[in-house]
Parts: sequence; C-alpha cells; structure tokens
Amino acid sequence: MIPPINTMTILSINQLSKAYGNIQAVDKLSMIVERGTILGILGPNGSGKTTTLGMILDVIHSDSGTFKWFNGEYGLYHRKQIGATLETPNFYPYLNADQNLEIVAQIKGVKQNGFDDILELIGLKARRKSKFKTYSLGMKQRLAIGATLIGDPEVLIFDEPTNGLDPQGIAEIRELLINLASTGKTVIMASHILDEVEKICTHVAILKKGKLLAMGPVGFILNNDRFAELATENMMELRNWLQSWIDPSFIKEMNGYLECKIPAGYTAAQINKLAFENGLVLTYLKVRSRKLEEEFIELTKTLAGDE
Amino acid sequence: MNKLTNLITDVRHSIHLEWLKYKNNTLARIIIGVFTVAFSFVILYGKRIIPNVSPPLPGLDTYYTFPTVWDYQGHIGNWLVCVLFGFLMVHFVTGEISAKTMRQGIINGQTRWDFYKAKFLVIVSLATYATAIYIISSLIIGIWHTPDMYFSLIFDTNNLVGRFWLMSVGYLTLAFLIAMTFRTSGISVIFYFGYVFVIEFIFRMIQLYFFRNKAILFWPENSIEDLVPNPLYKLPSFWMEKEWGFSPVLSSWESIITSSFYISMMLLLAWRLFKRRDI
Repeated sequence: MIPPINTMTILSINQLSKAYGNIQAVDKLSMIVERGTILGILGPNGSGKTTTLGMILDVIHSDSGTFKWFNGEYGLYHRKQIGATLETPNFYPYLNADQNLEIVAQIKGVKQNGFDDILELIGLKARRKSKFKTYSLGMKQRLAIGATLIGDPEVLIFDEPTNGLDPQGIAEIRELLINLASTGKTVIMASHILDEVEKICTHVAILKKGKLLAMGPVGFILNNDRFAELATENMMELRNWLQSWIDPSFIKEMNGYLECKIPAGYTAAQINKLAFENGLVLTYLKVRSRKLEEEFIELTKTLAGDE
Repeated sequence: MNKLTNLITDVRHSIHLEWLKYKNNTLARIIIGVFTVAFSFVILYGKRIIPNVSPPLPGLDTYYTFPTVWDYQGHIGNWLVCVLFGFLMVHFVTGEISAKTMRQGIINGQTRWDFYKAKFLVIVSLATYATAIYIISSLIIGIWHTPDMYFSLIFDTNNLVGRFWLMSVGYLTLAFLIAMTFRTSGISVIFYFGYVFVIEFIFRMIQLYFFRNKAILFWPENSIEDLVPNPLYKLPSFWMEKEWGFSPVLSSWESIITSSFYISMMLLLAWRLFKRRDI
C-alpha cells in the first residue's frame, strides 16, 4: 500500500508492471518520491531499473499500473519539467554541443541566451563547436548531463551516468552529480555502482527482478552493524584472538587484513587496547559502518531466498 | 481565432525544430542540392543527347514548350521525388531512431503526437519545396523555348501542380511508413525501393494474369505514380485501351481520390504503430 500523495510529492508510482515475453521486467512496483529527494535506484543488471525509468518517461508502455508526475499539475507536458538521460547519451552526431543543446531548448520551449553556463559547468566550453560524434564517451556523458539542466527543471533523472567511463571520468561525473544534488533539486539516479549511490543519494530503492525489495533513507536501509578491519604482523594470532572474542562466522580473511563484525558500542581505541592487552600490536585498524554494498548483497540474497 | 493562432505557433515551432535538426545534415544538403540541379537540367541535357524523332512520337519541342513542358518536367520530378526525397525521408526517420534522438525528444518533453506531427510537416515541406522547384523550372524552361506565349497557354496545367504536390506527399508518406515500420535504415531503404520498383509491380502482374481488369491500377504506388504519369504513355494507352478495354493509366481524378485514400491510410497506420510501440 503506497502512502497518500501530498503536495511534496513529485512522483507517485502505483503497481507498475512490464513484461517482455516471459520475463517480468517490472513487477507491481509502487513508490513515492518526495520533493528534494536524491533517490538512488539500485539493482543488478536486468533488475528493471531502466525499464522503470523508461515507463515513467513515457518511452516504454507499461502493461498495467499508473504513475503521476507533479500530482498531474503539468498535464501532458510534465516531461518539460524533467531533465533526463536514459541509458546512452543521445544526440545528433553531426551537430556540435551548442546545436544539440539548442534542439533540447527548442523542445522544452525554453528561451535560452546561449549555453555558456551549462558548458562551463560540464567542462565542454572548449569543445563546444566540435561535432558530437568526435566526443569521447566521458564528454558525451557530460553533454547529456548538461542537456538535462536546460530550462532549470525541477527533477533530474540519470540512468547509469558513469557507465563505460574510465576512473577519471567516473570521478568527474560523480563530482558533477554531487554539485547538482546540492542545489536542492529532486534527483533520481539508477545505478548498479553502490558506492556511487552511497556517496550521492539521500534515499535508496533496491530492485531485483523487477520487484522493489526495500526503499527508504540511506541511513534507514543501512542497519547499525559495525565492522573492523585489522592487521598485525602475526595474522594467525590475530585470528585466534578474534575467534575467542566474536563469532568466527563473522570473521573474513581479506587481502592483507581480517574483517569482522564487532559487538555494538566498541570504538577503535577500545579494540586497539583490547588487542594490546592480548599481546597483539595492530599495524592496521579501521572501524566502519556497514557499506551499502554489503547491505544490498545481504538484502538481495535474503529476499531472493524467500522467493 | 485563438485556436488558429495556437495552431500557427505550433506549426512554426515544429518546423523550426526540424530545421534545427537537419540544416547541417550533409546528406540532406547533398540530396536537396542534387534534386534542385537535376530537376532543372535533366530535360535540357536530354535535348543534347536525344535526336529528334519522327511521328507518331512527339517531337523534341514538346518537351520544352508550354503546355506540355508541365507533363515532361512533372514526369522527371516523379522519378526524382520518388528516388531522392523518398530516400531522404527514410534517412531522416531511421536516423532519429538509430541515434535514439527520437526517444530523447520524447524524454525531453515532446509528446508522441508532437514528434509525429513534426515529421508530417517535414513531408509537407519537402513536397512543397519539390513542387516549387517543379513550377520554377517548368516556367523557366517553357518561357525560354515557347515562341508564342499567352497566359492561358502557360498555365494550361490540367491540375498538374496540385497533383505533383500530392504525388510528392504520397512517396514521402510511403517512405515514412516504411521507415517507422522497419526502423533500421538498410532494411527500410531496401524495402522502399523494392516496393516501389519491384514488389508492387509483381503483385500487379500476378493480378493481371488472373483478372484482366482496371483493378490492377488501384495499387498504392501505382495510384501515386499516376498522379503525374509518363506523358509518353498517351500513345500506347490508346491501343491498350482498345485491346484491354481500359486505359493503363488512372484518370487524374481516379488517381487523386485513390492516392489521397492511401496517403490517409499510411499516415494512420504510421501513427498507430508509433503510438503503440516502445521507443
């Protein structure tokens, strides 16, 4: 049952479904996105993220269910209030950045006096007169993100914005997205890179095989488990000591260190002291919260087992 | 009045959008350039290479003088629109599909109807351009070659200008429907030319083999083609009519009504396909 729609609601999805033959791509998906939310839609490949975005952007027909943008305020033209990219950056290959952005502005019905600010923000000012087909994938992604900003839309949607990029490209796009997210816009971002979502989003929705497994604020989705990463010169002794202290099933051998789930309330200083009292001098110690990636794997494993 | 103003604004907006998309398209520039030049010079080039013929075939002068210049220029235009603009229309539509700019246009805020309407306006614009070139080239060639001219002789066109425009809309709509159906440029181009030059002809011949009656003329491509028929058909059609009991070419009103029906059906089919499909 989805909660009642209020004036803060940007998007409400109710029982949306889509099948491709025998494959149920999206299965009775319901969710509400509030104004100002930065929502990460997480899921492995084939979990229905892009199909969901395709349906709410009117390029894929749903088999059943409904969705409503802005409480129906803009009628048929709600997408003019949304800046979105889906899968790949899509532009006219024989046109340059300025000409492609002009087409987007014309579709949105926006009178734009040049695109200097946008091109500056996405770092394409120097290549603005080059044809789109000559751009690297990173530049194409940045132009796609720039195009979403035309008309200053209320909502931004990005589908796997760092797909196919090299590490530097990923860092650039991530920084750009963090900057955009800080402007107070509602952002919906589909990704299977959990680290990316954890760094940018306030809320997450986890999909698997088209079903919504969980949705809520990042802090709400992540449970309170805490983990320690430890190393010493004698790893055998460290393992023996840990096994005498915590459940051995919570201890994992990592590359050059051991990782374990620690009992609630323990700080790094307390663990260090405890190890020292047991004759171990730690060469590496890090205490951290549960990562979204671990939570995601746990959730998808548990709920897949329930099916 | 308000509705009319909105309609005009809407049409201007759509045409401006399509202009922004295609004004720098190299292939479009080349094809439109070749079309414009070829339309004006093909018939004049023919004068240099074809020797004058003896009756009952028409003399070379009839190609260049009023009012028959309208027939011959129209027939050249028939080929050029079918081949060049038909290909261009397929290129425009499949280009949007393969580059996913059609999909992005919808994502950016166009409705499907907006997109469809804009492409229909491209059809109308190209047909109008082709007709304008037809009028201008025919007038120039006719004025240049006709010794004694008078107003009614110059404009004795037998509705050819209107029929030429409708013919252009017909070929472009067929290309549009095929491109919307097959979506990839290679297959669409092959099917378009295959249909126009081979497939329909084969079907008509099969039909003719079993049923020798006028129904063989009412196929889509043939009814579009017969809007501006080959003027050299006038002679054999006299004998064929005697032999078969019907003319091998549709009358102008028959072709206008039949092709208008097919154009409407093709537009409707293209819209239904586009409306229902995921993009």
